[in-house]
Amino acid sequence: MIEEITPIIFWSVKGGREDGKITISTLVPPLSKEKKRVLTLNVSLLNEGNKGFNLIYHNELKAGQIRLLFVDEAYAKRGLTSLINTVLTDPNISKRLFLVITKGNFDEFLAKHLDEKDSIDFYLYRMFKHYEKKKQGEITVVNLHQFMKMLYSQVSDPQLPVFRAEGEQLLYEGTALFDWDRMVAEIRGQDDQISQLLYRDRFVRYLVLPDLSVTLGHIRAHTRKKLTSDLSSLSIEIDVKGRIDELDSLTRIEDNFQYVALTQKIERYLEENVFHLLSQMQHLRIDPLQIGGLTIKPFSRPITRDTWDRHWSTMKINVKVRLHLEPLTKVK
Amino acid sequence: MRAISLFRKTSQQESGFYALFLTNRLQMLHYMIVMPTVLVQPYMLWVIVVVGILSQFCLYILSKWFASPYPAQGCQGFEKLFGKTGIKILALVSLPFLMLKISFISVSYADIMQHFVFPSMDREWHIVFPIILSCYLALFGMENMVRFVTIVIIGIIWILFLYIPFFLLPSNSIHDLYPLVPIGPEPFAWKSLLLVFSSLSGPEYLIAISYWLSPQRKMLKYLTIANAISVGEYLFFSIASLLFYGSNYLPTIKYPSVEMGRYLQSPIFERVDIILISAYMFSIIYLLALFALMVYGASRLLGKAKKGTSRLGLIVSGCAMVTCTLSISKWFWEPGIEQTFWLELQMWAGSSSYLLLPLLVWFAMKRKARTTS
Repeated sequence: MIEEITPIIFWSVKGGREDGKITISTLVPPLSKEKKRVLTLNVSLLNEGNKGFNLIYHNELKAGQIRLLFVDEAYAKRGLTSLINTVLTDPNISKRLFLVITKGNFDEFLAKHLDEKDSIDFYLYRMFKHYEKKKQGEITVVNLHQFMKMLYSQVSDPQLPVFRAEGEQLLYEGTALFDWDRMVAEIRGQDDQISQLLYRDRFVRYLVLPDLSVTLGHIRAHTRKKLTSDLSSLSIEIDVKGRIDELDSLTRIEDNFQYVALTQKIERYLEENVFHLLSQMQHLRIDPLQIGGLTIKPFSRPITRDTWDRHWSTMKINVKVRLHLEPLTKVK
Repeated sequence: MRAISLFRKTSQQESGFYALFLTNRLQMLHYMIVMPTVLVQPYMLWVIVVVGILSQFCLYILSKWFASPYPAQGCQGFEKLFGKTGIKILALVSLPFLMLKISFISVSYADIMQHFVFPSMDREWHIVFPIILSCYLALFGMENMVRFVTIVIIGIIWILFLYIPFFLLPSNSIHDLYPLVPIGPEPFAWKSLLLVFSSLSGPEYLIAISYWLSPQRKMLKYLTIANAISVGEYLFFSIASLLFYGSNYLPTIKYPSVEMGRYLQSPIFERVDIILISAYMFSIIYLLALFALMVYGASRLLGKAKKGTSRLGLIVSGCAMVTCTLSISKWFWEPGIEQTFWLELQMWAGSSSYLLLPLLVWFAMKRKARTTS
């Protein structure tokens, strides 16, 4: 019996064909020591793919063990609601499905990993599971339930990780920001790391600031956000605790004065970056950091999305960063 | 109430805890089906508390019945209170309420089973098998059934601990539980009061079993504790689902408690929700068996049965339950208008029986006291 079914681990969905159909691919057989194959279909409805795969492979493909859903960037820009709804209706599919946005040619990346000993789908899943558990702010990991909750919540918007497929590597690019269910922006690199800090006190293992030639390590940020009652301004205070892990070899901290100067330089830099990030979000009228959630008070009416958008786009933001860093060497 | 085989009573020493556990299980019948989807706004949590207080009032009246000398005398006590025709009328009226409750519970849980556990099996089989099992359980007699409730509680109570991780998720925010008072744009749903009240109904059937729960002066204490535990459980699950889903996403989920069970991960089992549903069916089968015994007892009261109870009689009443439930499920249970019709009917029936039956019994006792004194 077990030889007759194949539980697949992921689906990869791409749009963009002229006849409006979507392309859905998967890798078979997972987890066994055989040469693997990529199955691809062009379908107009997702479940047509679910069924169509059975007709082109000798085993029955079961979608109950699906753990990853790779969506192409172009498809995500058009809206994910129909895709998500299909996935939601199947009672076998767990809500812990990881959603990922891909750029580049994902099929080509898969084609380079079809060896017998390569279980790329399984390793990708373990990667997401590892980073979900560890929460060290290295990559954003979002599962279906979290995405749906952020989607439905009145004043917040979801986000998803973005990976780029280049040749035989899958590289983490950043976080995709959504407006309702359409992808509107992407933040990469340093901005991404900083936004990880802002989103609920995450722990970031290394925060590399190449402009200042310094690396901060084991960062724990405590964020306090305060909105004024008329929603005209927001003040954010970030307490960052960590260590200086690496310093450019030419600069050395020899005494307290230099240390304070460096700290202040880093503080200004972070403040500017956070401000820039938030302005970008304001400009797009999205709120992935769930700042709108602060407006809900116990004894007052919750505000509507339109009101919040209006206030959010014109809000003044004050950012204050306070660093408490341990230096690399002993400071006099 | 009867003296032979199924309905006999042998020992004199009972504990109030049986009443406690029974009340709690009777009150927790509905939580998986209807709640917390109906209580989507956070201020509805107060509804649970308020209705719990109202239910406490009904239990207070019920405890007056237990404190009186009538329950200890079994059938004779009822006869003294209501007269022979009175008993027949009571039995006749209570049969439809019982059948409605049985059918509603069976079909709803069969729905859940079919949706999550065995999607390719017909819903009718999901109704027939539990009722067969409950008839088997009922064959052990009312006294053993009352004692069995402790096993049921032990088999169910661990489910509560499974839901504790939902309070500890890092993505929770207290803002999901605001606003605390209903100032929102939607009007307040008065139906939810009725729904919670009918979900807390069920202890009035203890009147029928009171012969086996030895009446004590302090029954009120046990009933209060059971009521508090039920209200606490409802609050627990409602808060967990509000924190997990948020009040905007919650109305779109059909069975939140089971879906939350699916979100739990364990390295051993893949589908924790199947285990949850199966464990919960334990409680349902037990209560169906209790109701089967009550149906049999009521139908014996209606007839002129002076001969002893027989197993065949119980099986016949089991078959009657199956037929009634199957016919409802097959022809009258389309999703949409028909299903909400049954839900509303059950709401009204449950609430009215919970409110009126203890009051009726109390009035009868008062009238008796006045005529004898």
